[in-house]
Amino acid sequence: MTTYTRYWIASTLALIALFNAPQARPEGQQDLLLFLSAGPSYHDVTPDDGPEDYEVALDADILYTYLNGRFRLLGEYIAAIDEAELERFQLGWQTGQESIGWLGRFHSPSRYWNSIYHHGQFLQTSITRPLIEQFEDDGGVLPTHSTGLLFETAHKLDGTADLRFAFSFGAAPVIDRTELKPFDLLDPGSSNRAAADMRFAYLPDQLEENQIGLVLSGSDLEVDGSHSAEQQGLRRVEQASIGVYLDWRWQDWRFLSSLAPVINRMKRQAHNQTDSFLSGYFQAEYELKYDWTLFGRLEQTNNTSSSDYLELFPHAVTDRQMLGLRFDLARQQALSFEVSRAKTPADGDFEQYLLQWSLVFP
Amino acid sequence: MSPVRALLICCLGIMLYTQAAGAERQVVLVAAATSPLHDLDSLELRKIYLGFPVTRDGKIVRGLRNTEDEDLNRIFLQTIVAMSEKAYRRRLLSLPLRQGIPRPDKYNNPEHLLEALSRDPYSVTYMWKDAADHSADIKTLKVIWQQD
Repeated sequence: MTTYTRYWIASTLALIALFNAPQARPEGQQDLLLFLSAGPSYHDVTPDDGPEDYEVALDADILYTYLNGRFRLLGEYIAAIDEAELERFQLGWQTGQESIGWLGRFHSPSRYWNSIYHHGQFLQTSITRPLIEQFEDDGGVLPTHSTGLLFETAHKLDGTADLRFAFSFGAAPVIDRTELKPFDLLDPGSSNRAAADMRFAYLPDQLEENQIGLVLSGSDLEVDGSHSAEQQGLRRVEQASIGVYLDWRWQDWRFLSSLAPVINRMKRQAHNQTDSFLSGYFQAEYELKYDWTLFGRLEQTNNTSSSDYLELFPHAVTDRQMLGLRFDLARQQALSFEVSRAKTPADGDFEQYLLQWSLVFP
Repeated sequence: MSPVRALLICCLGIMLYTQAAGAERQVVLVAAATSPLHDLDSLELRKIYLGFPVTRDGKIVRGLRNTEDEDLNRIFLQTIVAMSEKAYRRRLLSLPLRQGIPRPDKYNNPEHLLEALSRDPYSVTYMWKDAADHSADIKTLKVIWQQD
């Protein structure tokens, strides 16, 4: 489906939702949110690897939700300079007070960062995401979307604690020419294989957001157009990952961290081979006075040079040391600045400067 | 009447008025007069406004936000959700984003708020006690804030 057609679909959906203004009605409730973000970035790539690189990003994310009794609908469409995509489309049925089953396309529950921020750039303190949380079309190397069934439930423990569980089973992305390509509801392909994802979370206080958790994922990734994969004689990759994460607030501090070993069983025409890499990050955020937030992140991936799987994504940022500052202005807008020392397998080390304005409406 | 007696009566009148006015500085939790809801404890009320499902008779109780004036909003943030405005705003934004749950409806017009309450017997809101006392279409479930 052409980008032009996708924009028409998105615009029509947005207009329908806007003219169906969200009013309290006994038969149902609805909500519409628009997340906008824009800003320039500068990548100081070394002369040996290519020219200095300026880019300008502009993203619009439209989110629509509808709730009627036990039924829920969630649709999210993103339009950017270089893409337009139906990111999420989920039909949900609440099976119990704390349980819900979803059918459709969703963000994989094993990626914690995505499960809290999705495409709501305004809510995310940093501009960039860590490698293991990066979306497929932004240089991500792990599946972040799945299409199928998702089940979420919570179990109340003694006192105020909560144990939450999410499980999904659906279509995995394929290894496209330059990136992972998830199943597209508006342009379905046939070569997608299966993916299963799980997340267990422990929250000491169910009404707060502090949590630690365990994530597991298994995906069968079919090669479908990747030139470098075909050169390796690669047909598909069976990928498994188990990781831990932490999201903790303490006074004016917030800490976000995750560590995930990834094992790739490379299924070739001639022989099979297994490689692995370990990737993790630690992000700290400190709320200063007057709506300023200082933040920084360290992320590192090991075995990058020995992983045939990572060779398929030569421009993925595998390592980063980043510092940033965010200023919240006018209640629903923010300005953020980030400076990073980053590394990709193809470009080596380089510096990156990003400035971003983000907004949510209404 | 002597001037002293008149002054005393005036003082007494002022005292009584002040006491009565003070008693009115209460914020109450209300539902439609026809609502089957009787009481909700503080934890349940906080859950409702944070987007957690709280049920009565198998129906999810909805919280409607009364944004009529800033004092009322400040009391709501302090007493019911126990959050700063910024933190609560971010928490509300995450409701549709993460769970597909629309944010609680906001009303700054008392008539519209009462209409919404009467349409859904499993909905609640909060308002000044004197406003609640003047409407026959609603019933008070509990006092949630009282001026010291």
